[in-house]
Amino acid sequence: MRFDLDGTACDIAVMARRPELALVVNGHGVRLSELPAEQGAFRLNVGGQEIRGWRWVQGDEVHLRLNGRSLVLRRHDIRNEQADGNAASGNLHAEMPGTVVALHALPGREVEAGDKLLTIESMKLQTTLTASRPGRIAALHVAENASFERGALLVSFAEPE
Amino acid sequence: MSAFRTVLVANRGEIACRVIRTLKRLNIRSVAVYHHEDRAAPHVALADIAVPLQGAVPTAAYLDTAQIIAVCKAQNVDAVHPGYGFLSENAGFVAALNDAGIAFIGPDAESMHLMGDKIRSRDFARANGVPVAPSIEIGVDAAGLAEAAKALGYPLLIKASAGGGGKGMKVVRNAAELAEAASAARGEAQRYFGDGRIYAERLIERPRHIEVQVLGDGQGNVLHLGERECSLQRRYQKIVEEAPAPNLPENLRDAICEAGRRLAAAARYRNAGTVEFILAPDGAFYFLEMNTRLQVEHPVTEMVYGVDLVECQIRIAEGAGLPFAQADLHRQGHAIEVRLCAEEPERDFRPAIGKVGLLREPQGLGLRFDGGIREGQMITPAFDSMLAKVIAHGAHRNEAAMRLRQGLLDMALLGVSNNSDYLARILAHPEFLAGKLHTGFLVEQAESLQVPPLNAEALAIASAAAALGQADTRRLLLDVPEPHASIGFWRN
Repeated sequence: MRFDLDGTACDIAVMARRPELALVVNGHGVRLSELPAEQGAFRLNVGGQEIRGWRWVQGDEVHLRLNGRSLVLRRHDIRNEQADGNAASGNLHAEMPGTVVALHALPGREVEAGDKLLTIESMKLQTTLTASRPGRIAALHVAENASFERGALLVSFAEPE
Repeated sequence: MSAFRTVLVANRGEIACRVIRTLKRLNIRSVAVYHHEDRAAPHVALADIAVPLQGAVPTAAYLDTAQIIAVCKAQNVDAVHPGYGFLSENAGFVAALNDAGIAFIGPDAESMHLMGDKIRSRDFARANGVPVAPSIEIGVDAAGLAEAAKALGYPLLIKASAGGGGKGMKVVRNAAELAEAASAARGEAQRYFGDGRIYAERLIERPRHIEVQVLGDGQGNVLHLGERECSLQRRYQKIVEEAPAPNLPENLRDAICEAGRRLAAAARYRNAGTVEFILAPDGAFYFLEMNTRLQVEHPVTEMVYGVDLVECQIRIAEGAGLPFAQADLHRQGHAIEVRLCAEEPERDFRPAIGKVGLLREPQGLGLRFDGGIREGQMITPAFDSMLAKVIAHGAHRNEAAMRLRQGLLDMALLGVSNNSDYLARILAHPEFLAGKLHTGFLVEQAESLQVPPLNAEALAIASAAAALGQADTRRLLLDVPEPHASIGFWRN
């Protein structure tokens, strides 16, 4: 099975289940067993050392608090592969609702990766979104001062010829 | 005036909760207002009475003067506490409350009007002998601007007269950039504040942001509660604040605090207020602006002086005058505050949204948590991204920093990306611990503040914890043929 942590794939293989769980994650072996824990927490015995943390699960996302760090691991599935495909197309979707402050790109114009496409404002903060790959802008789907919802298509790229 | 029996808190989030806690302690009936989007927010549950505000736009509801005054009348409210933001610096609201015979826990409309405008307040400061950075006003007519800017000297910083929070601010390094920057700043100022007036002052490189907490009775009696250092900012917004300011010579500290006190006294200021200064590396300091309200970072002052500033505000508004004298005030130890925000520091502090899935507040000696969130609550883009503040007090600065860092490491806020780990890294940074602060610190130290990569062992443990936490992957890990499965050895 595979989890995704900030773009790093974590491939988990089960080597043994007894006397304790033996896993190999990205080539690194770890032996552990679970210990009883309060609501929202987890405790693991890892090679005699007790590891404590907090855990919250929502759908295919597991949110962890471990060693003073917050981590989000996403179960790798088809939806994630769709998102990867989206990144390859260069098409820009809104990650959260907001409004358009300024447009920097024009339809039909060639852009380089990192070129400014548009400036948006969400939660009182302005962010300038840039091109993830070089290519030709097919269309801008929002106008200045327009508001948009999460997931809305903002900029689409032409198919490479 | 007499003691307030009922106070309405015209705000939300952590500051509404913080004000309500003091009201409860003082046995004053508290009335909260809320937009539907906030129905599950803690301030609604905490107040004695909570009244919904109608309106499609959540932030607009908290700015709806007419609706809030109607709630005041219906609930026999004696006074309104505005918190910070929203209506806290709205002179029209103060006047409307006055007309309705309701007290405003804050300054009168005149000093708000005087201090709320940057150009006006700078002129007032200059007239009262408080140093102001050399500056020029920028009119709509561009003629003469280039000469005036040259005389002032580059680099310049263009600011909006009605501004705040970095909106409309532009750095101009040379004459070639001037016209375009001025036009962009004017556009932003118009868009954000409905007021396109801008001015430029000489940019001070590596400045510190030092501010003075004052309390005034409106009769010209003003005392100060020392200074706060607020130099650590990202996107022009403070995220770490402390009292006292580190590495500040005593005579300079006294001069800054006295300048702040003098300005507030000249304005016959009533209420808690903050006079902000820019401190140059050479020790010169300049008046920046005055905030005529409680500041987000007020808890660090409360912790080192052992006072409740909200209680002070209430007593002053009741007409009881200043609750203590300057000589009664003695600073003890050091306090540091961090602002916990829904954002992704690794992605240029992009604001984040999500559900507060799990919340374990920090606990420990000298720690204070001023929160405005609870488990199950949705963090939406409708409001500011600040979720809570964590404050630590210690006998000295390093102790406060260590306690605060430990509190951040121990706490858990899962479900919405936030800056708690980033803040913990700041608190352990050697340059921070050495007190070498300036407003460019976080940009300058961006690389050394990056999140360190997880090692293979940590990655493996995190993966195992994740896989054991999710139902179907847990089954895959633990799916053992009979008879072993029935033993349940690995299950809690």
